[in-house]
Amino acid sequence: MTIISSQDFSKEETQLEAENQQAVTDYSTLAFGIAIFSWGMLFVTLFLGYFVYRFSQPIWPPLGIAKFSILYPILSTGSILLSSVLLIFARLKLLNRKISFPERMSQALKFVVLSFFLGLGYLVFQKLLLLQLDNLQIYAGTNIFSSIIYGFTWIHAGHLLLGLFALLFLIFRLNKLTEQTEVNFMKRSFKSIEYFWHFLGMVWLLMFLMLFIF
Amino acid sequence: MTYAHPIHPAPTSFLKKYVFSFDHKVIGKQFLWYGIFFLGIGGMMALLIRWTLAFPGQPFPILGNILFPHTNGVVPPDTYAMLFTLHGTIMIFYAITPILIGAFGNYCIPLMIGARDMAFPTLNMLSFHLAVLSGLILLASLFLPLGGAAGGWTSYPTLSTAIGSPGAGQTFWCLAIFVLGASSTMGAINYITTIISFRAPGMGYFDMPLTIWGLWLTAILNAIFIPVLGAGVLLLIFDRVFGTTFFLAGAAATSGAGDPILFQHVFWIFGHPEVYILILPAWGIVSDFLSFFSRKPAFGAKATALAMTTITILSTLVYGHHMFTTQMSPLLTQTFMTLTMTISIPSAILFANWLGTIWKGSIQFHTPMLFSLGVVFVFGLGGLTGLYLGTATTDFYLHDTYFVVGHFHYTMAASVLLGGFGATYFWFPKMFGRMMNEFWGKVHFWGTMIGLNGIFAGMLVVGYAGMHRRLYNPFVYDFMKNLAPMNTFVTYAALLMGATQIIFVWNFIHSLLKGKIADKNPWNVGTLEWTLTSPPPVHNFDQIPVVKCGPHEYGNPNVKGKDFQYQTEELVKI
Repeated sequence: MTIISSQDFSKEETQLEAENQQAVTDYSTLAFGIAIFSWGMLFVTLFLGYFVYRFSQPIWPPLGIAKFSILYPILSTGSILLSSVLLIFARLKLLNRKISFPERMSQALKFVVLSFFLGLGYLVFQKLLLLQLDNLQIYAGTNIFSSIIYGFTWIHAGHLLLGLFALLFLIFRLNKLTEQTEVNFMKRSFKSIEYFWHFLGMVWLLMFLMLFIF
Repeated sequence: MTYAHPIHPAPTSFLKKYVFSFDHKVIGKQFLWYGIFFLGIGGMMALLIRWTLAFPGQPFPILGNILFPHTNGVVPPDTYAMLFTLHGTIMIFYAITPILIGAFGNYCIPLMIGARDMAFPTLNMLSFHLAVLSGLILLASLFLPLGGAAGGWTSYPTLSTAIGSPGAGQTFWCLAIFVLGASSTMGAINYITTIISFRAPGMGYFDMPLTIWGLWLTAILNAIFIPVLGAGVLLLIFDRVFGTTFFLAGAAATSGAGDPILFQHVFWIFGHPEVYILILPAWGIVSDFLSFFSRKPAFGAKATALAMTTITILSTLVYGHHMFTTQMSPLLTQTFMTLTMTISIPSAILFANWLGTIWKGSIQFHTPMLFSLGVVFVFGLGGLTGLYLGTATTDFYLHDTYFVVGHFHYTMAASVLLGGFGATYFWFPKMFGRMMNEFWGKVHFWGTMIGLNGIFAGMLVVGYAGMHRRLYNPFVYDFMKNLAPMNTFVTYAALLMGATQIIFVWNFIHSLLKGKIADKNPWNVGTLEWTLTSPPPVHNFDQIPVVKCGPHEYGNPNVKGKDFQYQTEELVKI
């Protein structure tokens, strides 16, 4: 099906509008996929670096680094995974046509707000982790293992801040949502921001497993 | 499904028209000014380098006393290091990338595929302004107390760490590269999405001009590999600013066990695709121009597109040939060598198709065609020299000599620059509605061609003789003293080439103001942009065209009244 232009008078205006909106959704989804892949390459490079360091060292973690509790990383993992789950619930609430629009909008908004605060909580736990390391005199320059922890968590936290801004934008848009704008909003803005948030969660999960568990 | 943006009213305020424009044509021109500006700066730096090599200890004329008052106009050694670093950085990231990819990519893609604009006009505008921010950061680094980055454009640690390069110059360099990487990635996402989703009805992938193929494949490589460089420079910034130990090791390290060679791996995983990012648009442009100005179909157009695609894929696998001398395992060295040899096969197909296109054509020696023929010559030569560098045994001798410098300047500077100039002469009428002067264009071509062959062939010779690169005064070594006359010759060739560019700049400005008014289609070419007025309206196409044939339909005797077909015309059978 081809859209010639918005002045294609052979089709009804509503049909043309629907086709146009579907086309916009399609190319927006394509662009988002490319963006996530591109973004992912940054983290792939970081993980590549990690594997090089990890498997070229005779002992891991390197000697001279005090043992530390992984409570804060666990709490960080819990909060970010829970925030992802809540975002999924928010989407499912919005898509539940069995209840009225204002009600499902309000329920979805609550979940998104909770998700946002859990994201903030993640950042707080990350900060507490770094303070804990500081207290144990494990600094960014202590050795390669501490450099990786500090460096990678800073990079991830920087991206998570972007994600938090995106969630704020989502909250703002949800407040202004109408039944007419709902479908396109769900297919584009909500989906893109949700997938970006899940992407950040998956990256953290991998980091958590590689840096603190294995 | 093809999508077409609706027609929006044209902007009216100065800021919306020329500064914060969403129009891909304006953004393309913005990138063109930006790229030409930095080309000038990078070129001046090259002349300073060449002066130092040809006339060591002599003050640089006129500008020397202004730039280097403390050394009586002579380029000091630490400044020399900054010069070759920033010359490379500026030419690659701030001249070639903005001109070939930013300017011609932005300008040509929507017009040639029959779209009204890029998929994301706002992202496009942001991409340009981020590039401006990056340029400002890089230029600001020149005014820091200890000057700009001086570790080479490759910025290898441990020289580029806080110990090897104290001061903020290298940090500014890393930051500038990171910001530019973000700008390039935004552009790449836009280009890929636009080409996939906004092609006019009837335009299959093999109906796209080869220029678009080149730009599309470049964008794909950009999207995948720019973030790799981003990760590398980010970790280098952390080492310099926060004291992490990613790239510190051995005597330079105060603690920890980093790996400087890891930076080289990360850098060249990006770096080799980067050189193909730079050349692919020029390949596409030249492949099209050879057909347009030979007035015959592009020989093996589909094979050319597939060869470019194969090269794109293979380019991701060959990065190790930049690191043969880092004591990688012999098996890894041999693997990279074999893959590097393999990449010469699709390159040869591409080259053969160029020759097949020109063969028995009715060649019109307009300025764009001269530049395209120039590219065929310089890329052929430069590409062949790559075989010696791709073979590990010869590379052990040639690595870090001027042979490498000559090779990459032939393939990148000469080919891409000539391609860029050809593109400028070709699309100038479409962009500005006026023709550039043909006579002075040809003078520009010959001056540039003679100049750059003198420079880079000379470099191949001195490099083969063993002259190392990045040396302030190579003539302190006895075995290099005999190379001084050749270096002087190279510098004279560089001065000739530099002077010739003044002709180009004058021609450009004069034509902008007083050039002959251009027809809709002064070159009689059938691609979609030539169906529009020169310059096109803001929204490009009133009605999105329907494509009915390929972009290289030339020389068909059954076509009446002209020797080509527009892509919107029904294909006339031979």
